[in-house]
Amino acid sequence: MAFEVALICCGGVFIGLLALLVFYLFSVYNGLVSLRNNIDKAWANIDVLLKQRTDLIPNLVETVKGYMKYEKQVLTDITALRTSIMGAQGPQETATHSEAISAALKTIFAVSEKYPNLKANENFLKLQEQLSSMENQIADRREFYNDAVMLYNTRIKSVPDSIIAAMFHFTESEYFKAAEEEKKAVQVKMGG
Amino acid sequence: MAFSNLPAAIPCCCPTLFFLAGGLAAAGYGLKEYRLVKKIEDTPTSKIRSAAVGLVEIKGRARCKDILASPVSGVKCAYYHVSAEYLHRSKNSDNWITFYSDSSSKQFYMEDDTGKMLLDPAGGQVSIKPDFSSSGNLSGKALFGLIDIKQLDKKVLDFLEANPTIKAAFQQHSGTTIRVYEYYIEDGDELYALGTAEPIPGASSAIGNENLLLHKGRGEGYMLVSDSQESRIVGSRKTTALISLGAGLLMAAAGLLGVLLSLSVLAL
Repeated sequence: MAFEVALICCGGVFIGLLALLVFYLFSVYNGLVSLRNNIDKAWANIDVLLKQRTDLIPNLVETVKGYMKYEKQVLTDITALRTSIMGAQGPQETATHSEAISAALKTIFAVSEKYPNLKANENFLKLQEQLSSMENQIADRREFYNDAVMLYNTRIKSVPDSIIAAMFHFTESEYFKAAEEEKKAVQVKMGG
Repeated sequence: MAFSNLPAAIPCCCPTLFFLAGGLAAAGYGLKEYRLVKKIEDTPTSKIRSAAVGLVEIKGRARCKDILASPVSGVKCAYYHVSAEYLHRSKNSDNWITFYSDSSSKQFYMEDDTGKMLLDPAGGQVSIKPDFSSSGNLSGKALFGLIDIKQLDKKVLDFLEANPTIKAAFQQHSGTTIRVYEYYIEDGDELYALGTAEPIPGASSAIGNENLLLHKGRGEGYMLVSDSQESRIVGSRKTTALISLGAGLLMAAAGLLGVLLSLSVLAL
């Protein structure tokens, strides 16, 4: 009788431990899925702003081209960058082009100071305000996205989560940050 | 197995069944807290200006939408909570039992360097340190008025004078020690908040600023407002969660073993 009682107890403990292990594996897996979804959501939030900014560039070029007769190159560059960001693949490449667009926009707004008539143009002022607000929001969302990536990348490299991550092919995510070499390449292209 | 013995086993299993149920309840609480801790850890902080719809974590300062006055201290605030407990003495232990509590139901703003967002604390957890507390007796007398003991603070007595219904509730426990806590969020207090952001109906867009309302989401939604730093919230709640989960599982396992043992002994 004692043997049967011991057997029942051991069986109970074994089933309990097994249930705990399964629960733990599920919770780690679900946690990783949730972190990956956070990245996708954060990326979608940046992407929508980048698209909105891209859509405003032709309007800006159209508005300023009549005034900026001596800065045609900046306008050509920003139009080229607009085309290239639309074909960019992945966060890093997108970030490289996005940073170049931000720099070009800054140049346009700085140069506009030389043209009082342009500064008085209501359409230009509205576009400048919209684009500046978008730049701020992109910067905030970029920080949020990079935080989400950092949390995820740290988790998939930490033991024991790394074991589940390797089993279910959770791979490292890219930061929304321009690679230095690509940045230089885009700057060279911009300079002509 | 002689299952005919099963009814006889029920009274024998009762204490272990209570152990099992208590353990499961503690483990459930621990699990719920642990999930909240994971949400806090896994959610990056958003800037209010660019916060998006969904689960959002923000840090900033409280800003009043409607200026409220805390009921006991009369301090101007954005949110308040008051609770009163009496000391219940029994043979085995002394317990504090809450007999009165009240919270403000008004929404307030949270502001950071980039903008401000409306917060609705209704249904959520507002975890802040007490700003005022007082304990003592309602009359300051014990043993038929023969002995002087500590009386509740004057602010509490004034508050009760102005609210006869609440005073009646206090008078039911006049023979025991009462303690009163008041919590409030003042304009400018540093806060941490985690909740579900949704567009305010009729707002111009679904992006940050004053177009979103942070509240407790539907289903298993979260809404936590705290005056502690994120690392402190995570640290203290994780400890509570793990202790509850571990102790609960151990209790449940012990209870389950007890049930199995009782059943097997009776069956054999």
